[in-house]
Amino acid sequence: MSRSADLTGVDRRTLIQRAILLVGGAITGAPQAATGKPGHSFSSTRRRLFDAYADILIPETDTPGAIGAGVPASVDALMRNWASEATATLLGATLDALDAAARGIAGADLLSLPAAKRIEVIRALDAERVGRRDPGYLRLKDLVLITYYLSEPGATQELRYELVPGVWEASVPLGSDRRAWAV
Amino acid sequence: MTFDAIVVGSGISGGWAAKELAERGLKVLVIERGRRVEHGADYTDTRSPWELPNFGRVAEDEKADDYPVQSRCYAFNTATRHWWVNDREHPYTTPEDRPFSWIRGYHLGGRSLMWGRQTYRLSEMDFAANAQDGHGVDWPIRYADIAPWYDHVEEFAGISGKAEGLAQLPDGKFLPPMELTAVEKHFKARLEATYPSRRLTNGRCAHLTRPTPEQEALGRAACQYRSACERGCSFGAYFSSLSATLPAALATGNVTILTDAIVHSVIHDPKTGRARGVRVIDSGSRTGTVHEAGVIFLCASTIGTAQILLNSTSEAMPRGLANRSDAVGRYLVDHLTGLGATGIYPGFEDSYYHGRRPNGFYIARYRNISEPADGYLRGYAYQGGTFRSTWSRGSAQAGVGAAFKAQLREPGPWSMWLAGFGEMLPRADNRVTLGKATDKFGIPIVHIDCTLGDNDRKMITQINTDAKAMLEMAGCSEIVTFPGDRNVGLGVHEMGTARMGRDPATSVLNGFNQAHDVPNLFVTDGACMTSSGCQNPSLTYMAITARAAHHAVEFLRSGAL
Repeated sequence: MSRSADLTGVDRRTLIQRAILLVGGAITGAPQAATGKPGHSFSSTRRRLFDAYADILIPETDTPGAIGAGVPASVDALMRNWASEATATLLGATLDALDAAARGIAGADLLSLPAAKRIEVIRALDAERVGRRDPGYLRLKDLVLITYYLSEPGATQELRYELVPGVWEASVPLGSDRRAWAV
Repeated sequence: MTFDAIVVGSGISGGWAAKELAERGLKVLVIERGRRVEHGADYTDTRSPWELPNFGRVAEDEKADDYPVQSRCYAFNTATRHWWVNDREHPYTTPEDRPFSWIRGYHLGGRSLMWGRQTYRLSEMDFAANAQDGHGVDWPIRYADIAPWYDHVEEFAGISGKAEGLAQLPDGKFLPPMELTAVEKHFKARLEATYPSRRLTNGRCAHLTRPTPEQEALGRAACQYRSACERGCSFGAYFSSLSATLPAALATGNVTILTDAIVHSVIHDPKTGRARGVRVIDSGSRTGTVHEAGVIFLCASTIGTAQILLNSTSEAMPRGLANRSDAVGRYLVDHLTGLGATGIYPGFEDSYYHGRRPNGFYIARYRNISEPADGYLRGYAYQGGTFRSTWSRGSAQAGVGAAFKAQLREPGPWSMWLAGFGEMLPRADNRVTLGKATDKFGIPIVHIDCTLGDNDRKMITQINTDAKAMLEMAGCSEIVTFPGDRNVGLGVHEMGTARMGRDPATSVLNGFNQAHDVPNLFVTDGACMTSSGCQNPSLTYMAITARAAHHAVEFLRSGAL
């Protein structure tokens, strides 16, 4: 049982901060801002391709999907603040290749396909690319998973997350709440 | 202001030296080359994953340009980047074909903020090993000399663990252990039934599982099981200089801390044969000053301390201070790491855990104790752990859409990992020297030349073979052994560059960590280690520092210094 399960997020945060102050700590300042070189970005076509792909990979169900969890904005930020030239080029080429492969299979741009057909095409391309461990595709997929499952909705609604567990229970039954811990 | 003692460095050893000397009434100046950081205020441990820049990932260009060495440490991310030196600004050299990864943190508290917190005592057989097989010189102390000091530092630092009664891994003054998972308990039973002389125990670590009043008085609280330790712990639940020793040292009113102050060298007075003080360069203004004291403790880390001694040349000591033996800088060892195996553990689908344990389990050394080794001396231990895989398994799996999302919602199968820690034999050729080029502070840049020997390579093979065999025994699938291609240095257990010994002709320090040639100079960081054992060494630095501080004060009081 989670000791903090009955607290809302805001209350829990207040309690945590109070606990830290009690032991003589201080609430942390912001970590250093991202520094350095001008960032990268997807072209508008690639951006629309990416959004379509992310939405198919992690759709909205009883919890938010990739779009609802802000994956596109997070990936934009990663392109600006994290990706090297080589990574940005690889990811762009990977999106282009997905689109080209979709045209090969379905005879039309991915974005102009009806939704059901789009999913079918992406499912086939995913299986093929994961099967041959396409490095660009694996990184693209990983990027969506990282930005989704480590987002607040991904970590706390789709999965479970506790900032301060406060306890180590080495063995608990995986009971009615079968969600994994996000971290 | 005049000081009785100078402590160079504020990491695990320096913090202990400051505390023990100050508590005995000495006025102590602690000199730290890095910046001042505040316990709590400079930590990032209250942030959730979505609040971290780039979800924790340091920009790829920055990582490649500024942190090519430091980023190889597992604890490097955007929540901890400020704890690591910028490799471009703090260069060192190695032979091109013999890389050595020197992991560093230049700030108050040093690497005690980012350390792995695993704490194991050396045993009598470790202190006797050199004398027994002839590699390295004989330690001038034995287990009985240090045992009470292990007790002393454990009671203050707070060490969680379980007593096992093993000769090769002495028990300590333990706080309650962190419980094993169901899979780990199952594995322990299988392991000990299959290999009766192997023992699996709860990881021993410097975390408060049940704080004592003394620890609480310092503002420390129990571990909250967040496993964000390397960001700094606002609860003070793991031992660091900032959570424990420096607050205790400052509470005496006897300690002054000087940060942003790089020790260039120790000043030797040929008339008295003593160290007079240290030359210090302000890292901001680059101006030099001299600080004097009657006793000097070097706790600048194994390679940093060697650098200072080698740079402390004089007419009387042209190859560096306390270096009559030419042992300063030599006999550099690290632990053999990056070895072992991982696999999928069958069953236990309905078992999970709650909380993030910053610890695991430990399999004590058995090679050359209860089981023979495959053609090499000394031995190794394993750290290990289990976990259920999460969403990150998804990128390597085919699948999209609601069904894929539903599958990743549940925890995946159990994984177990075993990571070996092997003892490297000390060899004279593995050494730190000073290059001709200087850094921006005018201090000669360190050159590190360190390779593995035959004994080390044979041990590496068996570390991986044994790990694989133990996982196979447990019925694991998809077993992968670790490649064993990591650079020396990545164990971050560098030791040995100013070794203790009985003979001034072959060692730098005596049995009290006192330089044979300079009686008021003490070295108590990893540099003093005559051999390394296979145990994580920080606990031994703590004990050996406290012991040396005790004797230094006794010598002062008796007039011997």
